[in-house]
Amino acid sequence: MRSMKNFRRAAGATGATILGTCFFFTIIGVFGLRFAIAGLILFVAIAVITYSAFAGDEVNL
Amino acid sequence: MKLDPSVLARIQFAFTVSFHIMFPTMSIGLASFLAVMEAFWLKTKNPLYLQIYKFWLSIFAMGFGIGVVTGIVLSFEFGLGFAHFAEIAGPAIGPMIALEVLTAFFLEAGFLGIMLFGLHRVGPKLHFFATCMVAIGTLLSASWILSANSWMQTPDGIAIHDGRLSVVNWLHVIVNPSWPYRLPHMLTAAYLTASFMVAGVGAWYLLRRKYLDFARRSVALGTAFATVLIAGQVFLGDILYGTMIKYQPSKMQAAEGFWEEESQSPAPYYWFIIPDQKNQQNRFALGMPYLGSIWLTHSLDGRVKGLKNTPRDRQPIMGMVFYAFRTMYGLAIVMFIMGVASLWLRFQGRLFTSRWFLWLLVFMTPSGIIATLAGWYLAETGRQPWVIFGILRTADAVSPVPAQALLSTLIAFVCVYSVFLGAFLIFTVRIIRRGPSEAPSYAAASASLKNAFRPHVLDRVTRAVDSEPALRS
Amino acid sequence: MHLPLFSACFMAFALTLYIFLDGFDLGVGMLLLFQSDPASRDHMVDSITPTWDGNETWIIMAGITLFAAFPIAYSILLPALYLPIILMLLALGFRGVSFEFRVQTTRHRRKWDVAFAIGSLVAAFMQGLIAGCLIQGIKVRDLRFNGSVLDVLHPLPVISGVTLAVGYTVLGGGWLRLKSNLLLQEFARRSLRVSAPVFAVLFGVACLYAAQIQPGVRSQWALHPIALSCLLGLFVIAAGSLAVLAERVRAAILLILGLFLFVVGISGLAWIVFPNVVPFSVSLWDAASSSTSQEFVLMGASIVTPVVLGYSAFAYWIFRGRTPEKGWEG
Repeated sequence: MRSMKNFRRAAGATGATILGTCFFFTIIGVFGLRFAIAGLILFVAIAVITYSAFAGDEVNL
Repeated sequence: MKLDPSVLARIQFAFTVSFHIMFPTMSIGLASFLAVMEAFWLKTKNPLYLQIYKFWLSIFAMGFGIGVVTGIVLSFEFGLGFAHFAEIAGPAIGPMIALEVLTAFFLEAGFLGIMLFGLHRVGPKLHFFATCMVAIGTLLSASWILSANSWMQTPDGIAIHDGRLSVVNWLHVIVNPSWPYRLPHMLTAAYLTASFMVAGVGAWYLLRRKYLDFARRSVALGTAFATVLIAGQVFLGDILYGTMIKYQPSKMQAAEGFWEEESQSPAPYYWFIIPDQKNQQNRFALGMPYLGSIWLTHSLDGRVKGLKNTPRDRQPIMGMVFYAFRTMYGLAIVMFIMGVASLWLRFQGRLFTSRWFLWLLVFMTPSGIIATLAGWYLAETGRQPWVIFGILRTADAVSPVPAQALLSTLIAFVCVYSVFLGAFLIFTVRIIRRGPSEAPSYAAASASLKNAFRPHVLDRVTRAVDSEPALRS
Repeated sequence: MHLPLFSACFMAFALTLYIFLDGFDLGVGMLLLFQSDPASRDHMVDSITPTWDGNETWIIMAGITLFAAFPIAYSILLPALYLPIILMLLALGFRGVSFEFRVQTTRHRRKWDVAFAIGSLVAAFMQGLIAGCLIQGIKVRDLRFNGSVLDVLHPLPVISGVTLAVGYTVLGGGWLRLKSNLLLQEFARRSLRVSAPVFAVLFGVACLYAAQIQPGVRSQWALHPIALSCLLGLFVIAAGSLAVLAERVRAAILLILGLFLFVVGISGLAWIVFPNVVPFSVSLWDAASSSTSQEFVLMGASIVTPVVLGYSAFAYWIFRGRTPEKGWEG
């Protein structure tokens, strides 16, 4: 079960890395300005949602 | 040994301005952070926010003080080291800096006293107003000085008669071509600096398993702000890059490490070069294939323009520009990675317990300052050999001051500023070691409760007074 | 036509305000050297802590107005006064950071106090040095500085440096008399009984010496003997009153007398130097930047300065009355 957990963690981390890299390339304009703006807005939205929804023991932020 | 006054003047200015920029970068970021913390405290009444506020207030005060005195030096150093530049550029940037003093410096200075010393002298709303005024002052200050420096990079709105400059359109001088992009870029850099400082200190406490509430909130706030900010920053950076290709092609040509008029296709992205300016080539270059075309031309096979596109007597020194850019951009990539990692860990509920990530945060504490310094070196060395791009060369701008005077004052600056920096670091480490609401050594407070200025003592005293009716005045 | 005149007035206004406000700050700083009790020293620094930053900003305003409105004069004067300006900036730097650093330690506080005091002393001395050097005259050729950086090391600048330092201690004494506890008020009174007469004498010596070595000074005396004599007379009377009345009058009067001394002194200097901005060779109009620049500064200044004065006065009002014994933390 530990190896399952580790495997899931590794898979998730890899996914996050790939997604992050895609966002980076998009935001710095590799696919053009419109996609850069869209990518930025989407990324910020994901960040804001993650920080409000997944709080652990934090309440107010 | 024959000393060259123009080289010495440049070294002196480079030293004083590099030293200076570290502190306003921190101050702009921390001032807004403090305003946000005080706002949260007033709104939620959660004492944790007041604790965070007071902790960073004393570090902010020290940094602000050093920023002010090193800044005063700069306002005179235009004339001291570069009198001819001052003579020429005075009509254009002089009034801008005058308005910086009027609208920003006085605002910060006027309300700083209330912010630092008025906690028990004025009501909470007025105190919050004072904090906000200081934060706005730092923003205004950054705006004006960025406008002045941007005018040096992309001059506009002026006419030249008989070697004298006169302003024909103030709007074009102030809102010059590069300012609208450089200002948000610098402000974001300042906010990123504060975010990583806050997160780093929080991470340190988490690793030491002390002040856990303070630490967790700090890491949460710091990483949250940093994640959003770094995304915005790389976006802004790319836009600024496009602007500078248009107005200062020589700078961007030098920044990427290519020499030939047209590079090979597809172009690599160089990470390490040994440039040879004399022979206009790289003795060695190491890069990632294809990435140059992708990042720099937004295509898979684009060619990058090299420095030979600029005449030799107008070329900046590639080594300095290239490595300044790579340092700044490299740190930006690391920051972006940290941001994504913080989101992932947050999603998994492991943000405060992942030790490798916390250690990374600790190491990244000064990253904002280093990246900002690198960015400024890119901006300033990339503008060379001009001091006003396309109008006045740096070598022609120097003061008629002998080299010995320049050298001796340079040494004096290095010595005195080292004392400032040393004291700042020692006292900041001490504040961090003491922690947010640690009990004071009353011996340290001496006969007068003078040290109650120190936040942690303030807490203790306030609590003591509140619980003992006879002590209330 | 008149724009350079207005700009010069604004510059003079900023400089005068600086001399008033940082004058007593630097004066208090210097007086630290004569105060052996640590708690009293803390109290002295407390009295100037909340407002020093705004005070110091006026010298930046004056310098930058020179840069914006008279860039040619700026480019001549700053290399000419290179050494005293840099030393002044370093001294002000030490003074400024000492405010923040001295409260972070108790073991080393005395060392920071010394840095504070010596920083104040050197800054004051350098400012006087600069004034004396200006009266002595700056060597100019073709609107460029043509002398040596060591021109500052002559008797008149040195006398002026000492004079101004003593003058600032007069202001510092007046401020302490107004703001501090009873113990320090006595200290302030004793200092005024010495500093006021010494200041007057040194000022007189400096004036005489200036008249002797600078023909520009002599010609101004020849042109306006009555006006300048009146100013000198007022100066002597005010200084005398300060020394004699030190214990008998309300505290505010002493500070006002001190400020009055400076008003008279500055007026005299301005009278002598006008219409030059680089004495005695470059006039305001020769050194001025184009009218668009002057207009921009003056417009900004006329709108913003009242606001600045307003909230600065407000800040002083917040910290009104005697400085609390325990400092500013409540």
